[in-house]
Amino acid sequence: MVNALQRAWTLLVYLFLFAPIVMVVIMSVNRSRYSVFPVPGWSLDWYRQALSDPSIVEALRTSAVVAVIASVLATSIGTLAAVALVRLRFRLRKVAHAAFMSPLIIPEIIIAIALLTLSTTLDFRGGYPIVVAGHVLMGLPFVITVVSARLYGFDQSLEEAARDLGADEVRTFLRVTLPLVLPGVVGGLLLAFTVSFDNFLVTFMVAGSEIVTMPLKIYSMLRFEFSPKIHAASTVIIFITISLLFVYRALTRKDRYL
Amino acid sequence: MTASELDVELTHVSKSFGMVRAVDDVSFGVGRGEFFSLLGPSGCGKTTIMRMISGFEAPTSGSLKIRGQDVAAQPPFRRPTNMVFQHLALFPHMTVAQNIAFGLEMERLPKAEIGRRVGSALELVHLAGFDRRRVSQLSGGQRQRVAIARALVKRPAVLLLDEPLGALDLKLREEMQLELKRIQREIGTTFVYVTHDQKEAITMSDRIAVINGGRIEQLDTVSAIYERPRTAFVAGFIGETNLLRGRLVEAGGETATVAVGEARLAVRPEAPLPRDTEVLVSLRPEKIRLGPPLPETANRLDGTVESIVYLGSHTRYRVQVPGVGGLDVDVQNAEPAAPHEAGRPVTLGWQPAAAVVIPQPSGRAE
Ligand SMILES: Nc1ncnc2c1ncn2[C@@H]1O[C@H](COP(=O)(O)OP(=O)(O)OP(=O)(O)O)[C@@H](O)[C@H]1O
Ligand SMILES: [Mg+2]
Repeated sequence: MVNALQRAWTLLVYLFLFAPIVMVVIMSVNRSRYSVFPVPGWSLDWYRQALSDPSIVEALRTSAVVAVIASVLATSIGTLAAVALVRLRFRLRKVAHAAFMSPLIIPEIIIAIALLTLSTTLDFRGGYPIVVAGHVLMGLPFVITVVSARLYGFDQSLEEAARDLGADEVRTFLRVTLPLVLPGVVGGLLLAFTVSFDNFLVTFMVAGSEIVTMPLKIYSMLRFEFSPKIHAASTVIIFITISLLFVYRALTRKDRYL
Repeated sequence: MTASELDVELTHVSKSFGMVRAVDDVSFGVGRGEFFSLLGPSGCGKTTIMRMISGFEAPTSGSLKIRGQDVAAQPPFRRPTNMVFQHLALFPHMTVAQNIAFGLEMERLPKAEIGRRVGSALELVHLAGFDRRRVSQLSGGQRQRVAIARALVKRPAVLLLDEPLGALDLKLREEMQLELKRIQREIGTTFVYVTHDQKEAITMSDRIAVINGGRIEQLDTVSAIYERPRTAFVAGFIGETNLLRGRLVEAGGETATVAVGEARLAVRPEAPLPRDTEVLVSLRPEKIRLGPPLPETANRLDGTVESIVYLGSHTRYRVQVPGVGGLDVDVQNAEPAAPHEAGRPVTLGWQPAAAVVIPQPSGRAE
């Protein structure tokens, strides 16, 4: 009895969480132009149309390029920052940590406005650099959290052993520390990629007119010409995001060392 | 031993962590090819000494030389020492061969030479054929051997071992002790070995420094540490002993007399002591004879057997001596049955040279 109730409740929670997403996916293969239920028939036509719309393909490409650059940058900076935050004992360590984590806590709209203000003051409007910078900022806390967790669970005498055997700091990092925190680094990379790929608010504020990422494209389609192509495009984003999460899970599960 | 033959030399070395004085004015030299042990209870500063030799900690004061060179300015990766860590610290993402090759790769040696030296290191520790294994696929004893091979393959001037056998069970530990001793004899490298296990130190070492509270209590050969402890701490820490508190009542010549309670004991102090010195008499359980005294036995005490514990190779008797206290006496089990019974009166006897006299600084309560 309790079991049945529990199951029903779980089902309800999942329904609440995933119903909107499932609706988008269903509507993307709906033959009709209109979002009606039950669906009158099935078709992949909206995908065909979406993928033959050059502006959508271009947006997908832009998103991918931005996400790759931003996630690689966020991962490199974040990994080194995590090593410093975990390993070194310096004044202001806590302050530095809080600063890196702040994008998680400060409302995104405020970060977006701050970036916009900064870029106009520096007369550095629009363009890839400011978009990428914004995405790096949003991705950093994720990278730092995942890599730090890895570093905390790491036997520091391994690094001492490397130094004892003749490795200087750089080679100790490259040959011992990095390989051992690699699952965390890859996890951070994937998270930073999704954060960038999905980002709307920051991109919207700082992108200017010539950069259109996928979320921006979907938004403008919603406003100007509603079409189930939007569902198809959204489903593509959902699919990419979810597959990355699975890759992350698979990578961290296969973890043999810790 | 001249200074040039010393592989490690500490001169008045101290180390403080904030208010904690972990190492307090320690000086010693380790000769080339020596098996030297630092022995002491937990927290006495053994690891700190090792970390200063290997370069992970800098002494607060004092000087440290390796092969005659002051190493104060050398980081760990430049020092001719290698360490076997307490928890081994083998690299989990590498195979056995990669672990051992790591230190040689850091020296940028040619591949062929690395291969050759890794091969002979594996042979030295009897692990030939294990090169492709992962660390996680090894037993505790095998991991131990890999850690030793990884450090020795660098051909260090000094090998530092910080309680390397602590994690092994007793049987394996005893096996590895002999194994380590064999390796050390074979390659002739200087070993500095840390342990809190006195049996281990006695089995393996040439000389032992007994450390207590960051200071060296006594530095001596193994037999001297056991036979002639200079402090009550050393006498109690190395092996087992009966400590009797007393006062020197008769001095002069080779032997002296100590009053312990109502008893008068003949002793033979290392150096002449003035009358009325407060002393501890350390008497090892196996040096006391139990039963009818031989005619020449100088010290005799009458007591009663209080308890008997059978310990395999020997039997431990607890004997109460009126006016003196309880004494532990070991009797070898040459014959199957224990010859004495609880509650029976017995006579204890020993020669003056069997006991060690440890003068007590006045005012110091032990
Ligand atoms: N990094 C440190 N910071 C502060 N105190 C320390 C530090 N390292 C050691 N100590 C202190 O110095 C003393 C000696 O420590 P050490 O590790 O050398 O002892 P040990 O003899 O190796 O003990 P064990 O047998 O338990 O390993 C201890 O009181 C310890 O708390
Ligand atoms: Mg220690």
